[in-house]
Amino acid sequence: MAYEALVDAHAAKLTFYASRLLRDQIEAEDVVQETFVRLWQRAHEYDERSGVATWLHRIAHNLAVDRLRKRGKDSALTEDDELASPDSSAPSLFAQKERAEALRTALATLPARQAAALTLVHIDGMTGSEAAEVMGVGVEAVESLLSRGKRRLRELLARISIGTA
Amino acid sequence: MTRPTPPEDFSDLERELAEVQAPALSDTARARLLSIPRRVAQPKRWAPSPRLRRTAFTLWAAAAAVGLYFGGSGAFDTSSEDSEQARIEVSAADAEFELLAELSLPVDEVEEFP
Repeated sequence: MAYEALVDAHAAKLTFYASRLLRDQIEAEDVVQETFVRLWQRAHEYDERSGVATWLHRIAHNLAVDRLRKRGKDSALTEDDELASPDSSAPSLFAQKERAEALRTALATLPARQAAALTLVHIDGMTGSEAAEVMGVGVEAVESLLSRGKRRLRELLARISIGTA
Repeated sequence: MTRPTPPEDFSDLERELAEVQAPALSDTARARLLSIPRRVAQPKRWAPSPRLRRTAFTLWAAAAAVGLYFGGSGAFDTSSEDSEQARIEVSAADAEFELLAELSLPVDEVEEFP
């Protein structure tokens, strides 16, 4: 069934993306539920000029932003958030050489928009313009978010590795 | 003269990020997603029923016939009251024609009406 194939192809990535924005796994899963309800109800509105992944991510992005607004946490979408404290379990992650898990943890502490841009481009493999379409910003803004995000991510990983030394 | 700062190299970080996999969905989350087609009705896009199309066509044709009768009888020239009535009928015919256009009724179907 085409619907099932879409779920298997996109749901995990969408959940990961939404959880980067919302920093809450349960809410991220709810957002993905709503995204697929909209897919089911509004499939006829799909514009073939943008890929299915871009379209679904755009829906999930908007739903997540709505939730952040309802929470009154618009600041979560600013680019200049202070870095959150690394997860206390991070040192053990390095001790176990689970670098990928440490990266996920570090991503979760980045400002939401930087984490979103990094996730879309470097993890989901979207182009800059596709990420810009998802996030509703210009390509230059995405490039700026990526640059700041990578710099902060590197700082954060260095901080974690110093903590484990 | 100061040298421009070379762009930072993030290629190692980018490689590591590319290897990050989104965690697989839990069975419960996947089951909830797959149940959406059963739980949520897919809305049908509105389209005029054949009966509505026939009714609209009949109304238009009747209005057009009345309009032609009054127009052909010289009512526009002789009686202001009849003329007003004829104008109303013609307006009604125009409105029906617009309705038919909205309903996308084929033009040849309109022309074949006796």
